[in-house]
Amino acid sequence: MFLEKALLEKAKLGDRESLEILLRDNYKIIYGYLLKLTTNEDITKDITQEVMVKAILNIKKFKGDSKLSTWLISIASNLYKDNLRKSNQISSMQIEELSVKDSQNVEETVINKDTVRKIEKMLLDFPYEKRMAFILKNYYNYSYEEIGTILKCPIGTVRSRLHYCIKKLRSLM
Amino acid sequence: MNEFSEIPIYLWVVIICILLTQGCWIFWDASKRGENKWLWGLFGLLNAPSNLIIYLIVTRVILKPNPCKVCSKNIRKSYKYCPYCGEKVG
Amino acid sequence: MSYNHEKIQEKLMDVFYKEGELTKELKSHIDDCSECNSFWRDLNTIEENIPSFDLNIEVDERVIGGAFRKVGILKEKRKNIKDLALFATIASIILGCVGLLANMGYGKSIILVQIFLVIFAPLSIPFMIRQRLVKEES
Repeated sequence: MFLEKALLEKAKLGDRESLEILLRDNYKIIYGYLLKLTTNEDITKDITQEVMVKAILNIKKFKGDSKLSTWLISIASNLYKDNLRKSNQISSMQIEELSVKDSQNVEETVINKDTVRKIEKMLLDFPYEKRMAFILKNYYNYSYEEIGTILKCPIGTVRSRLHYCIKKLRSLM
Repeated sequence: MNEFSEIPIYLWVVIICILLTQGCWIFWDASKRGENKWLWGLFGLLNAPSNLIIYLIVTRVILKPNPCKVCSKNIRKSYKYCPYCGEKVG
Repeated sequence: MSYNHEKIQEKLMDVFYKEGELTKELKSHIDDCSECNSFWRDLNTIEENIPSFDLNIEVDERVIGGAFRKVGILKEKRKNIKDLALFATIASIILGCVGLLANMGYGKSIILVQIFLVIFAPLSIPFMIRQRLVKEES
């Protein structure tokens, strides 16, 4: 934690190496989170890079009151939402094609099968806000309060979204 | 000399607007291509449209556009690495 | 006693995620109610299927390097826009002065200068090109 604070101070002053180290340390978390959300490696790489761009541009604005990874994950969540909205602008026919392609890609692309498990495939059917809450809780162990900050919603909403996911998963299992 | 003060003001305003637009466009285009934008911009303020034609000839025809894929600055074809961003091109 | 199963299950969820306490009432309810019991067990099953670490993810340096490059390009674009605004301001002032001069009666000299420029500016092209080539050779 100390190390992160020291690196953060240097990075805010413009030291590129410190910023690189911080980004490298958090790469796995961001990538893993986005991969669970999208189950598509290409999109995940693109959004991960966009998260880093935003982080580099706004590093001076980060107050350091939470962990750096939490801040990065909230950036990732927002960018993922924007990405969904952009792809929703395509016509509905194309959306169907895309979702068919996506589910085929889950089988065909060279993803390491360990990283995309049964549950994550099932999660793809859920609306994205509920998916995010579930992933943040079960994979990353964020508290209700932290999830609320990341997803910008009250704690009650976080609980109901988690409950929704658990109920649906139970019915699918 | 008197004839010139009889030229309506709005004509001068039009000329100034044309020169301003030309200068700004050349400035912007030069900055995108990695040219010396300040010199080209001032050049573009002097005369229209001949200076615009000169600018276009120099940048588009004589120095053929060969933009780097990453930073889109003009680089010579013989280069293997972009001198602006370091990306491999050749 | 009629328990609201939904509410109970939400509380169980809280306990499972360590956001709430397992009270005696809850515990006795789990023991009594088969539905909530299976809910409790399912919570554990779900957790078992979740890997605790992000395995097999390798840091792709190209992504990080690419991000820094994109930031460089973005920052340069912003700088270009600021410079353009500055240039437009300076240009307006210069041209405004020229317009004033013309109004004050110096129009003829200005036109003469313009004619001079139109004739001689194209002659400077080869000079500019030679300068450019020299710069690139170095």
